[in-house]
Amino acid sequence: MNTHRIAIAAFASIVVILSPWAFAQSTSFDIEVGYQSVDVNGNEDMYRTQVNQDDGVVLRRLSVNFVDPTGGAGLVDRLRLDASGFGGSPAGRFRLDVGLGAAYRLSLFYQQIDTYSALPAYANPMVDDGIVPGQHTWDRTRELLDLRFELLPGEALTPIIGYRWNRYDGPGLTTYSVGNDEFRIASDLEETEKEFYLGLAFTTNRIQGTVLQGWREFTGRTRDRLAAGESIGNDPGTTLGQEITLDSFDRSTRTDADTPVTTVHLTGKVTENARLVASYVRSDADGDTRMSELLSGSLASFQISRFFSGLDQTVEGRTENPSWRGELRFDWDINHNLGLKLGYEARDRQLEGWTIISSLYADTLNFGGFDPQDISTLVEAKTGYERKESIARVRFDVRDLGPVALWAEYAVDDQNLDVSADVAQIVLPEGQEGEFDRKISSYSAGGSVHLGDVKVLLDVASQNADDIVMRTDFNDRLRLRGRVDWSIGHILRLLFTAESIEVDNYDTGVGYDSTTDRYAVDLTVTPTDTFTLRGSYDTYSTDTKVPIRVPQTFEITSAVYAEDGEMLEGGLMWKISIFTLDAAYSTFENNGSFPFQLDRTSARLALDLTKSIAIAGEYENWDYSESSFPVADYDADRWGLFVRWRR
Amino acid sequence: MKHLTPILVVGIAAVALAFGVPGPAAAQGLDLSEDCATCHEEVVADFQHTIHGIADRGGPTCVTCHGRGTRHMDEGGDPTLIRIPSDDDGDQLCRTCHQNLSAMFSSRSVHADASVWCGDCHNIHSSRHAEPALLAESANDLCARCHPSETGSFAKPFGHELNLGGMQCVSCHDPHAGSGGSSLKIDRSGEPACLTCHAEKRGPFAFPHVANVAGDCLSCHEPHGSTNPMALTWPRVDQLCLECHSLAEAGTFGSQPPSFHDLRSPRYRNCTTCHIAVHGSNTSPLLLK
Repeated sequence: MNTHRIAIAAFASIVVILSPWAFAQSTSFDIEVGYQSVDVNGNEDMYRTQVNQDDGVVLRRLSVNFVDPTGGAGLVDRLRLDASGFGGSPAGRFRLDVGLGAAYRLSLFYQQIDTYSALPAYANPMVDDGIVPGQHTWDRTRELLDLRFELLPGEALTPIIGYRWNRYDGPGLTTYSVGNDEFRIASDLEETEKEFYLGLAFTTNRIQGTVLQGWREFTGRTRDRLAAGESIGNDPGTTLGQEITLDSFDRSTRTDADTPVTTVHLTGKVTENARLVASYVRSDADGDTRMSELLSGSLASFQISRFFSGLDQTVEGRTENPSWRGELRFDWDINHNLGLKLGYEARDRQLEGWTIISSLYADTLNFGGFDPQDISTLVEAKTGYERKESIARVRFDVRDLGPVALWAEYAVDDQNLDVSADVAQIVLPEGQEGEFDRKISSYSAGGSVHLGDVKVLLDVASQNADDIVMRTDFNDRLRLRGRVDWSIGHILRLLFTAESIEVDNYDTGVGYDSTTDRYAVDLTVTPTDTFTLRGSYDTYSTDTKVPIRVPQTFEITSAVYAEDGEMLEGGLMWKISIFTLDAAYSTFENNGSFPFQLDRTSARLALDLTKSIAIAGEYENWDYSESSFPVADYDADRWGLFVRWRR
Repeated sequence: MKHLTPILVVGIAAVALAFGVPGPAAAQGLDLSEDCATCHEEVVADFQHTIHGIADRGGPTCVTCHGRGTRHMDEGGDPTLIRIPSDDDGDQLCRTCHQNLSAMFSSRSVHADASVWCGDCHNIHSSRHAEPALLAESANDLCARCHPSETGSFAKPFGHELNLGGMQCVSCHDPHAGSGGSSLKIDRSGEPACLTCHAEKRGPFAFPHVANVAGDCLSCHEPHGSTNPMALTWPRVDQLCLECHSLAEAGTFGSQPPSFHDLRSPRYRNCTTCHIAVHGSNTSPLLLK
């Protein structure tokens, strides 16, 4: 029995065991379930990539709530179950919390997500030939399970035991560059991460803390084969007069990683007004990879300067990746109006990678067509890095100065990166190894003012760095944010937010600049309990410019990226007698480097049959269009009929 | 360190036992719920269905938060004569029992900066059909109330999709203050919240790329939703890659593509046609598989 089945069996057992409480008279529940039908005109792949709703039964909502104030119900005095999305929706989630006073608490979370991607133009070298979708597509499922049990929660000592499980699997198509061409391959993968942990939480009058020790295990299995009808490859031409084809291809890869993880969190009360908080996390990942690949065809390699008709390659790899991070913080309320916080955080991550790549090229000929022989190569590659970072910060808070509150913070972030690359990785000398240092100073301040029904918030953050590591790092960064929130009772609420971020990099040979501005206004009017009108406007613009070196000419040119987006949304909720109408329309238009428009319309009409039972009809439309590439467009309708029962 | 861990666990347990002090006493209150129910019948009935409703066994009662309210009752229910917690006063009250939040909410929370108090999101007098954790609305709707720009970001066509059963704002952010910037959560091993779901991207990889070396997931992706496919920061693959893989002489970290990468050919404009393992590889130094 595999882990998945164990999880489902455990889930079913828990539901059965808890069903007496779930259906007890004192239990409230709320369930909405129905059927939906989806009709897509246009590019269904794009619809599935973006939305991925499907025909079928959908569990819109399930909530069960049970609380027994007297504790007379035996093993359970509280139960909370929530589920949604299972069925025709692309993702479903389930959460269960049960407990008995201070005796125990059990929580279980399960999530299933269908992931689909088949983009027509993105990363598609064949799009100019009218071949869509692109070469990288997948239709996979991700499942997550998180189980945690606490004995004597909130008591002086609380033992904790937990289990996490994450699986990603399913088919996909990708590419493989071999023999001087790229070929499309079918890739089936199954990747599972499991973690078992146990530990202890403790509470005294002065100290609270948690210590957890976990053991994480990752297993990845990938089987790649040549996709049907894809032996020609992307390049229909020849290499040095020889046609390049791949006749067969089979690769198996297995990766295992074991990682013990230690987590410690402590909070100590120094005085009534001062607190010390400490945390420490350490993990030591240890990974192994084995790959075997066998292929045949008519291929060429410039690495060995030969044509070849077969390749038998094996790879054995090993990685060690210890890392830790620690934090110490001191919070002191000096008096009612003034607070001081001091913090220090340090992180360290190291990696050592070691790989042996053994290749046997069969039936090779030199580029003149002579000297037949099998050629064997052996590459031993070693890589490594250490990344260290320490952050120190000090912050003052000033509270209750009439309607005003203020804060100011200063932080220094020291970064150090030491990388060693293997010669097999070096493309051109420089830029791929060495030691890099960077120090960032951050000044930030903000405040809020409460004046009757109006709340105003402003904050500013200025950062400057003495150097950069990546070309996208900043030398200077300035962020301004503001918010005005005005309410008139429950009748009206007006919210305005604004944010501006300016990033500047004046490092010689880089010159990276980016500006982002966004403004949003949101208005909700509720003149009566039965009617709500809402509208919002959101505008977003970003301009990024970075000089790049064109590989084929080594000329310097600029890559420019712009977003100029606007979103307008409006909706209403109107309850008349036993009818409730909820309708909304939104349009999002981007006129930047990648122009498109996405309009969404939705309406839901619910009819209360009784105080606890209602039926609802739903309609939703998604209309997506790209002005520069209409092949991607779609227009999708979703109709649904749902029943809701509450008690 | 691995071998020290059990010792550490036992050691801290021993220290805690040595203190021998019981945990925080449950908030004791005189249960006047029946008196309160005389006027507030529905509120008291609903309260019994919340986690706070286990008053018989030490849970909070009306008195715990509102005081005895004798004058309030004597003088016909005058609302000015009873304690109605809010803002800082309300926060302090909640933290009397929810002590863990004291450490979190006080320091790293943007909500603390913005004078958001517990009652802005949680409805203590929750109805029978309340959201989990006594939230006043669904978690996503609550966040949208004050973060319209972020809500707008999710209207972009690529990236995480809210409201379809999968993602919630709180999947990545901790409203009580996460350990990362922007109240982001980190996972149990101190890594970004992204890896909680995208576990296969964690590695370790013998040939790593970007994440954990010199950047992170956000070096290439926009998590809230993007105008670009794959939730990337640029619409074209080559432009994204060349952001870093250019001008090696500037002393920055990142290689320069060799000259046979002729960008006039679509084969080379789409870097990931060959370099498919952009999140790292254990088998190919050049991230080809």
